Amino acid sequence: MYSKMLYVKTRVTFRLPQDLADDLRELPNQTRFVEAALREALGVACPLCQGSGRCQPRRLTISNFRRRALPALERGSALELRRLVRIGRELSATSLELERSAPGGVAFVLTRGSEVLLTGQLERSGVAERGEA
Amino acid sequence: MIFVITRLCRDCVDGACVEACPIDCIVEHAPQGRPSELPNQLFIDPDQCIGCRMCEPVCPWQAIFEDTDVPFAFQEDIELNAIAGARPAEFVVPKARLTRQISAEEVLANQLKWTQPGRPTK
Repeated sequence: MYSKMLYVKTRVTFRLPQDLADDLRELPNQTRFVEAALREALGVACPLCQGSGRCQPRRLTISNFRRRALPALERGSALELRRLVRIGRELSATSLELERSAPGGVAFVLTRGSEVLLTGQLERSGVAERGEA
Repeated sequence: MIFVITRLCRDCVDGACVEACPIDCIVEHAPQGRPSELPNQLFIDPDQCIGCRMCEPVCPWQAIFEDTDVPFAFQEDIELNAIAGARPAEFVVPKARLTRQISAEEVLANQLKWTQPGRPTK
């Protein structure tokens, strides 16, 4: 039985040095590997699904106040943290790192995998963004 | 696990903590297709709580404790909250339903109800 994928994809033949060809033949899924490498090189892969067309549910990990010895939030900063968490979930962010910053503030870095989405500081009056990737 | 909602919340279920929690980790048990077998109270998902302390001071019934400070009479409630982390699909973030102002006498009466001899066990 043939895979349906064979009919929606185009066969491409290309030449490789012997050592690369040998390495490629040892991979369990050569097509997927070459496809991922091409998409990454061409920069067209969706950062959310990595070109698969299907997003997996991700859980946003947020720093623990007790372990990081973070200062207590005031009402205003807590509301800003809530907005930040919701933005993070909408952007499929994977991590919201919080760190103590002087004086009495909390710095944040919102990331999705290795990609930094937003950095800034939760201040008593609210959030001050420093940059956006 | 960081903060725990104890049985002092039962049948009181004020929503002030839901409003205060910045990460929406305060939930109620609402399984689909069957009634809840858990007590009528709110729970903190221990896998999500970041310990920001925003919920603790706003609970009018003083039902929220840090896990290391839960009174002996409410120790069973730690495991009850853990269910929210173990079966997250059965829990939802409730809509905030702020109730009336609670008096100090009512808070004390509620504490006595759950801690004195002859108290309800469930």
